[in-house]
Amino acid sequence: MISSFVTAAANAIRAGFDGVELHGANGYILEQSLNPHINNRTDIYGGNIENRCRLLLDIIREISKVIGAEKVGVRVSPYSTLGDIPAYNAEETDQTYAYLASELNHLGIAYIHISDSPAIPEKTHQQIRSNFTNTLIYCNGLTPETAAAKISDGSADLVAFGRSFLANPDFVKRIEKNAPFNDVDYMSLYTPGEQGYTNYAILP
Amino acid sequence: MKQLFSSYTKGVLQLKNRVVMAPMTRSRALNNLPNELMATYYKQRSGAGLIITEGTSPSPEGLGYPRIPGIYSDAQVDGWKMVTKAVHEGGAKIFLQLMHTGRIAHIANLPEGYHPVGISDIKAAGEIFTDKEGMQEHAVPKVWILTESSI
Repeated sequence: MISSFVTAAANAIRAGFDGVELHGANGYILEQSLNPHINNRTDIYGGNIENRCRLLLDIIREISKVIGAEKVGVRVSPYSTLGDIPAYNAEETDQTYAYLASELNHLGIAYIHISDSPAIPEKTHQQIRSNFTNTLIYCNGLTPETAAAKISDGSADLVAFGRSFLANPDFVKRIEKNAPFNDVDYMSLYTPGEQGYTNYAILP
Repeated sequence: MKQLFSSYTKGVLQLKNRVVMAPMTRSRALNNLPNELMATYYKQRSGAGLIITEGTSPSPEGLGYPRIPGIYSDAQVDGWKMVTKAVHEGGAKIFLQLMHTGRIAHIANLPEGYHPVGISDIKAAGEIFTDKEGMQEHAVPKVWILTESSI
């Protein structure tokens, strides 16, 4: 598992990427590891917070040896229940992400990418911000206005948009020109071919 | 809104603006290979300062969804080269998202001979789409076993 991530990261650099983001969110294997209700392991990768964070941190440590920590980012989704991830004790959740932020800071990675939700208490945001000095990216439910406000107040360095970019290839230009946005065609999110993929309207 | 358009410079993130394209699964990678259509899609969106790609599996076991790309074979690396070249020509930086789906998977979505792997054998509630068999319950994953070679 760990070595496959390392090879994959090296492959990514070989393919011309500027870096890699580890998906530690949305219920996939790295978040499965973080969660005490899914991770029932009795080895060094299960048990307390440190052990449940170990898989993600070991992968990053090993990847960093090969491509450099400055080319690694991590996405997290505290308090998310996507992918049948059961919620767990709030204090323990906060401690998990505070610990992760501090360890990731120590490892010197490029960024933490937070999949935001109203379920995340302000305290968690503040702990991540204060424990991690490098770049913070915020994502989920942002509008250009709320995103600009997050940059202004210092809570985010960068702001990410999903569906807005999906439906508006020229999303940045549309913000600049105050042009209307295309709607997302939900029927073609995952269908093969160009329909609903490369054929969204672009401003002249 | 001018904050969004200011450049950003920190480490490898030398970005023309603060707007990031978020990672999104789009299931266009037939046979788990990045292709020209995907290069076109990402290039169209290279007005972003930074693009984070769709989730891409580091191994065959991590390909839980249909038609998501991988980054473990030379053919996949060659496919991704088209994407990174196109995006860099558009002036954006691009990070590859490494996504191992773990238990969010079904064997019908994996290449022949592979089985979903999880951190434990606890199955996820709910169903997942497969091209071959339509909606199916999530797999009961095999537990990831720590061996010398897996470290």
